[in-house]
Amino acid sequence: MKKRYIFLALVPIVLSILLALLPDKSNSIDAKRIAKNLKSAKYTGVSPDKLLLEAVNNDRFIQPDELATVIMGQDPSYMLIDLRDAGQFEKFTLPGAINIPSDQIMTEENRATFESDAYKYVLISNGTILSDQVWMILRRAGYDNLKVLNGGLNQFYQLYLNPPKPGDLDPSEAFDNYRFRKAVGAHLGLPNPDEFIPGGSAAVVAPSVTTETAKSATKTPAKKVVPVKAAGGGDEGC
Amino acid sequence: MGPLIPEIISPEWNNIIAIVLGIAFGYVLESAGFSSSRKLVGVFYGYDFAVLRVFFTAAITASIGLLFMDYFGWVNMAALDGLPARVYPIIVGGIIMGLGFVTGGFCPGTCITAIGIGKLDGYVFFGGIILGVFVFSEMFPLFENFYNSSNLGDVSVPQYFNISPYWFMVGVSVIAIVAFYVTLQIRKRIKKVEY
Repeated sequence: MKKRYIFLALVPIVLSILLALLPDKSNSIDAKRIAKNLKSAKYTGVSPDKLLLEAVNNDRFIQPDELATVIMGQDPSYMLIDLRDAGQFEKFTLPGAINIPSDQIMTEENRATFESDAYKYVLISNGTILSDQVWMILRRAGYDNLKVLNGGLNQFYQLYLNPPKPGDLDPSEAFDNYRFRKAVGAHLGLPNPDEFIPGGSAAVVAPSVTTETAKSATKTPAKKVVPVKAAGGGDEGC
Repeated sequence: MGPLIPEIISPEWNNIIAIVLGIAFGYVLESAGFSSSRKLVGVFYGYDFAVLRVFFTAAITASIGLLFMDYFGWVNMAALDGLPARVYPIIVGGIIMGLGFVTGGFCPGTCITAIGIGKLDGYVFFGGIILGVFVFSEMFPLFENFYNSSNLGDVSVPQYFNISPYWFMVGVSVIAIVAFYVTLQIRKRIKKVEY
């Protein structure tokens, strides 16, 4: 056999053995394989730079008024996901919301919830932080159509329990808005401070806004939102 | 993809590079004699193993090159997308492809090469390809389920069996060299065919 053939045959074998004996390196194919496995598990649905871009702009937020319109119109294309634990969910939630506690968001069953393209998923928690965290996890996992309720349930509740009254010089839209919010409040069964509290809305102590970590302060039996007495602090649990 | 693309070569060059590579590929095919259907089918009858050697060499050269480039961080192998491994449909497709190869005397790329040097059988084969594509597309709903069955996803052999891709590469290189040697011996024993 020609020497040239032997040489040529040895080249790939030597090169591949060399490759196999090289020390492992962070950008070696093994590291890439892990990355690829993650990819196949749908963990890289959105690249980190794109995710960062999405995280700094506010497109993901749905404003309380927008969500109120959805709830009032019973828009079937929205799915409300309550991320708080079951106890808080029992006490109060928005009409039509389903409960997926934030620590169970990545279980097989719960992930399947987010697979459909037919829904816009509104993530709801007491504030914005928890929903934002879950939004980021899901977004990174590649799920689309996710919305975060801006301000969370605390702000939502506050806005419709006691909507800021427009001043005399405000444009008529402000009055429309006010009436709309009152109507939503009534629709949701929220108490109307003007009706039953002597002294009107001024006497209603603004419900204290709780942070995500202060959930334990619950004391409101607010499942069907019973009118809270003027003692205030009614919606810590929401 | 790594520093080679897009940092050194910007995506705007994609089409130009594709054309240059395509011309080079056609040139190599033609100079290897792959525009002759008699040479191509020689691998089935045992009188010419050029096809096996050229493609096996191409495969191991490209794999070793890619693995080295990946190791040095020039190319990101994880970003290379493979076709999903649909086991049974690929077996059936391979059999159909093999039958077409042995009866027609070309595979799709080499038939274009044959057209390039003006061979009539190349034209006929190309017409057959177009016809086949048309029939396949029209009949696709009939076997769509089978087409999508036994899908393992985008996996490579080392990934599937969870072995080191480098040692797998060593194995493939050894198999290639053994195949070259065996085919050389077969060719020595078979009567030379003039074509």
